[in-house]
Amino acid sequence: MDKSKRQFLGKMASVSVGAALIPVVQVYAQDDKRSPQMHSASEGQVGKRYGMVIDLRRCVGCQACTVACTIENQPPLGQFRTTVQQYEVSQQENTTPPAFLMLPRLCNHCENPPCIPVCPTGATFQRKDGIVVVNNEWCVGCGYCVQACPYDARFINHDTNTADKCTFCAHRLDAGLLPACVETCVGEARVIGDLNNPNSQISQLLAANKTDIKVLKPTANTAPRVFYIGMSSAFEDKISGQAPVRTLLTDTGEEIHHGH
Amino acid sequence: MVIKEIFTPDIAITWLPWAVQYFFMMGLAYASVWVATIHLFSQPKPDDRLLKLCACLMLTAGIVAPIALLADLHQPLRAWHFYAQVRPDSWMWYGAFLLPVFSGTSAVFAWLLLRQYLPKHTTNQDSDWVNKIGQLLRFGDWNSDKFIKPIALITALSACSIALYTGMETMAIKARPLWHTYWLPPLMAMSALLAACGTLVVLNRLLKGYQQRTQDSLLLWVRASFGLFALCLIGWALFDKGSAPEAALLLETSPSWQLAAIWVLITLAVLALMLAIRHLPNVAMIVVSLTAIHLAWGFRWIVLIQAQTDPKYGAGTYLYQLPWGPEGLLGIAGTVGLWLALMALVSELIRHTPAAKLAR
Repeated sequence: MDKSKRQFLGKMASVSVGAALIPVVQVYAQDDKRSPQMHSASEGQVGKRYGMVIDLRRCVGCQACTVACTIENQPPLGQFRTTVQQYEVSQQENTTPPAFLMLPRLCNHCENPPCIPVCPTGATFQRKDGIVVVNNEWCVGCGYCVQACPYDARFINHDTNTADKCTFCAHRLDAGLLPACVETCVGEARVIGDLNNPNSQISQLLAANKTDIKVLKPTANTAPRVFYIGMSSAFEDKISGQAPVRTLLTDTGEEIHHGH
Repeated sequence: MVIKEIFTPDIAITWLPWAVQYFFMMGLAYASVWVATIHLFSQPKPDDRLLKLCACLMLTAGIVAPIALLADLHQPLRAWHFYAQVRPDSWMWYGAFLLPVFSGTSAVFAWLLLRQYLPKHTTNQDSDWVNKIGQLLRFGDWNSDKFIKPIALITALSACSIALYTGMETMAIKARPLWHTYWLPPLMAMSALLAACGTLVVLNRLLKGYQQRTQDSLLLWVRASFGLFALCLIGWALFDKGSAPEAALLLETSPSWQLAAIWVLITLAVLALMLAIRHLPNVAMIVVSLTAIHLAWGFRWIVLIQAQTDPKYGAGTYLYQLPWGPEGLLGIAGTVGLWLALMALVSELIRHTPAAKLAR
């Protein structure tokens, strides 16, 4: 290599070499000491198997659950452990006015959770009562579980830089309280309970509606423990439909890009 | 039934461009190990220039890749957690063990290949500091040639393990139909080989001591790896039952995926046409090499970043815009810069004895 080439490379390198180390330094600075999931990193309640039934006939899409969850669990701005997704459904012939479907979404606390085996550190695990949790003091933030979840229920929390998800509010359940979303639901559409107990409200609800019980992605072999009543089979798997107009915003809320 | 999404959240990507840099740099490192080993064992009189370039590439890319991987962890300082328990169901956990083995073996292999170019010990007071470091790195003047072939074999095996784990780690994700195909690991490996051969051609031109013989044999490597990559791509498009139909669905609806497909087809066509020329002029060879590098990097971008904009449940595609900061462009530029710095450093250390030959 001649001298000028070497000098050029040297200068290029000295400008950009530092950049490779910036994120390491930044992430170190953000190594948050808060551990919102510390309570849930326990063994869980032996003998119980928590599940949730969501009666879509009773959901009005008010997002009170979204707000209650956000207040209870404090995820960063723009990140959610639960949301209510809204769809317009119409018939091909267009003879009847379109209907709306409100679809509350959260972690399905699967019996066969695909997020757990992929975890390289064992930071995510299933409690004895079936609740899938993350020990965010052990999680390395590799995002492998986020990729493996077929329901987009997980995300990397921008504050803790670790995997985050719905825990069925395990810390509240352990204290004898209902999860924030269940507690706040105005239509009582969300019911949580012990699936092992045949006398529990959830077991009775499942038995009474057994012809109308569906789960998301039943063919994914995940055995979800969040059940829906009143859901069309068109919503079981990936939506085949029209996407909303999506907008990409900056941190300060300015639109930088939008499209379908 | 016609379904329109009215109100759904936008899901941000989780694996950042650092992952592209890791897969790309790792690909350069393991593929250059393959080229060097196959060359060592197949040629009665090995081309020292080719081995030297391979050594430079496996050493430098092999150092940059794990740094990019660490940066893609959102908690890089907790990397030691990988080693504190047994997780036999996780490909990534195996990777945590395979990666340091490769880093070690490839560094030793590169050192053995480059050792003859490091300055010999001298009592000359005029030697500069680079010379002195070079002398130290030589670790004496003993003959290490007999270790080259055994270490080459071990490193090539380790390189295979890296190609396997990086491919399988991605392929194992059932939730992403685009990734969940057995065609993905060979596509990754063949594009890595293509990129490594292209980079070696550029290095042959860039580092002092250009050899036409080296470029001629690298042209064969580029042709072979391009052919294999194209065959894998055709095989995937024709025979895959999950990933290819998902891609076809995206092509129908998403302008960004249509653009990506047009880009892939044009790049493939340009490369195929240029590689079909019997006597490729030297300038064209550089264009071919840069196009090959561009194709392999772009392929990783589509697979690792763009595939994350394919919703797992919802319709359409999510939006993604490359950020300027470390989680985006600066991260990409940073890793490239670090690689350039290491290349400059290595080329500086081995500049003193350009005429050295392996004694065999």
